[in-house]
Amino acid sequence: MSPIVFIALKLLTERKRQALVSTLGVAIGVAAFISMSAVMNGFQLYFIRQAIDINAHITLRVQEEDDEGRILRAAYGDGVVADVLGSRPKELKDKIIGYNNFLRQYTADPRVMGIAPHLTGEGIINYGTKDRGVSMIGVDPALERTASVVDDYLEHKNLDKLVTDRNSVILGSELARDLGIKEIGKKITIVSPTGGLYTLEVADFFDSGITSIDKTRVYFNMRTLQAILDKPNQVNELIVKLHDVDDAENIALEMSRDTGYYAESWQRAFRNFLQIFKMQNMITFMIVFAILIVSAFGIFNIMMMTVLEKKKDIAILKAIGYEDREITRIFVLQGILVGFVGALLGCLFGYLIQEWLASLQFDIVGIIRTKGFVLDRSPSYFVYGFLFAMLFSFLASFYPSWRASKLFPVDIFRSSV
Amino acid sequence: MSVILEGRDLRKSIGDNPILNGISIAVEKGDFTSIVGSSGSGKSSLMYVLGLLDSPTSGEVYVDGRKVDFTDSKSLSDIRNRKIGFVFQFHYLIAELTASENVIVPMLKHGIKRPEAKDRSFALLSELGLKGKEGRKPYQLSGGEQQRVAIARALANDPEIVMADEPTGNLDSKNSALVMDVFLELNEKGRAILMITHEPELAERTKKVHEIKDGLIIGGEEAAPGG
Repeated sequence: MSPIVFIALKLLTERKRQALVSTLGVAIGVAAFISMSAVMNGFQLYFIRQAIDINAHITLRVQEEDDEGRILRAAYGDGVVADVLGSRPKELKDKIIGYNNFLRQYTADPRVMGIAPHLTGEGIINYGTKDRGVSMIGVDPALERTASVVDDYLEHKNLDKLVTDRNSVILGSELARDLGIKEIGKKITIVSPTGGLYTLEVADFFDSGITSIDKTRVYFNMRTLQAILDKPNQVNELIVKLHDVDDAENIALEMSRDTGYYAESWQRAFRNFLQIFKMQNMITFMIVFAILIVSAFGIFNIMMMTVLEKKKDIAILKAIGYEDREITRIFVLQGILVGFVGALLGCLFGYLIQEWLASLQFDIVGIIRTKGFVLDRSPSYFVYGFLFAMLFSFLASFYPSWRASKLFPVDIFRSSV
Repeated sequence: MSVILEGRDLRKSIGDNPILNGISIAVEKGDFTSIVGSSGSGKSSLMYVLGLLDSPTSGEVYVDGRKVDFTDSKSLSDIRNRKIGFVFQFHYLIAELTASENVIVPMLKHGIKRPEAKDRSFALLSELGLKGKEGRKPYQLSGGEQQRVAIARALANDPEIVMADEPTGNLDSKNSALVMDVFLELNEKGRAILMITHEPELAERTKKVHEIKDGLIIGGEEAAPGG
């Protein structure tokens, strides 16, 4: 055993209470990091996974024209137009022309897993005395299965019913609950934007776990919705599923360029959520960092006190031949040992907290609905927690250790007399 | 006799305040030299410079005939570890270590393996009358015993010279006499000792006495009443 390790261990183990307090401080910081990361990221990953699976990795649609000054600026240059008054939104040609060609083209693309057409529109659903505004989606069940996982979220797996009985619909589970519909086979009425009334039968319930979707969405057979919206043979959206979801942004840009339509990646579609998540993550990390910094200050404090208390020992160690860098190492090593043991304990506590959180069963109803916490139990949190703790411990112990090494033994011997 | 340690024209100032004003001194093998003087005369400063704990403002120090480079801290640490043993007025034992472990610390730095160092520490402590007390912490020992542990630590690496700064200054008369006897015995075995003291009765028992005043050696005598 090297003399540095020997002395460091002796100094540390003989001051058990101080060492224990610092070690627990680090352990709490690491455990908090591991458990909070698992909860926060678990929730976010669950939301993203559900949202992009149910919607699409890329949605191709007609872009709304909301920039009134664009034509004037194009003619007279940037900065000429301060504001455009009295402009009226122009009528949107909300259909994708030649979508069959796009279907063929992108089905052949090796990066694309599936592509399906949608016709979307707004309507009102009526059941008994209750009315609700809904988001209507017309689908081709065979193609839909290639581009989304809608089937997985159907309670009775009746997606094909939309084909066999064109007058059937699939309701979001929360919407059905709102309306008071508890079983399939019930008749509902759809009011189209043009005022037409259509009676259809509930064929299934759709439960994605994302409240905003389950509360508003109604699936139709494509032909049925085309008839309701009076848009024969029209679709206004193509949804695309990719092999690699992280490619969505690039492929969307490519699609926009190639088709002339607006291709929206899931990252763009959920950018508000992603930004909230980003902020949430920042807050989480700030809290956890604050905990780790407090524990690091604990180490710093104890190390500074130790250095002050051990001035005479440092002086004698230097007198008997220990060099400055060896004195630094003796004290840094103590900090690192506290960090190491604290980080190991923190990993253990973090694991136990995760186990406990995973065992809890209760209803969470918010932007997602789950039974208990959705945890992301990635080993990377343990690795990062461990490394952060080691880094903080090193940084916290370095300055006091460096100060210790710079003590001039003669000053201490003189002041002791 | 060969010169182990030599200081030539040593001067030391702290700010504008001169502490050493050109002292030359040599310690030969087997010497027991004491430096006496009143408080503030510069005797401790001289020991710190000769012990390579502090650098002189000017002048040179030679160890075994080789000039010491005060800018080379590694070499200074190495010489202190191998060739010089220190005993101070206060024992400066590390409270967390046992008597034996305190003695081991300089040996580990010297590169001696722990089992061997432990055996040697037991032997040294035994020689100094501390057999059976090797595992005791400093607070479990009396003042005289603590100082003897400090002496054992100074002897750990078998240094050529032991420097003692008021080694009995913190002890009662009985323990003072005991510690002084230890030094005399060590000297009898051939170890050179340089002792700083302000107690004339202790100085009288050494072979050489130098008196220092205002940073200068003003008198010296060869005496051998006890040595």
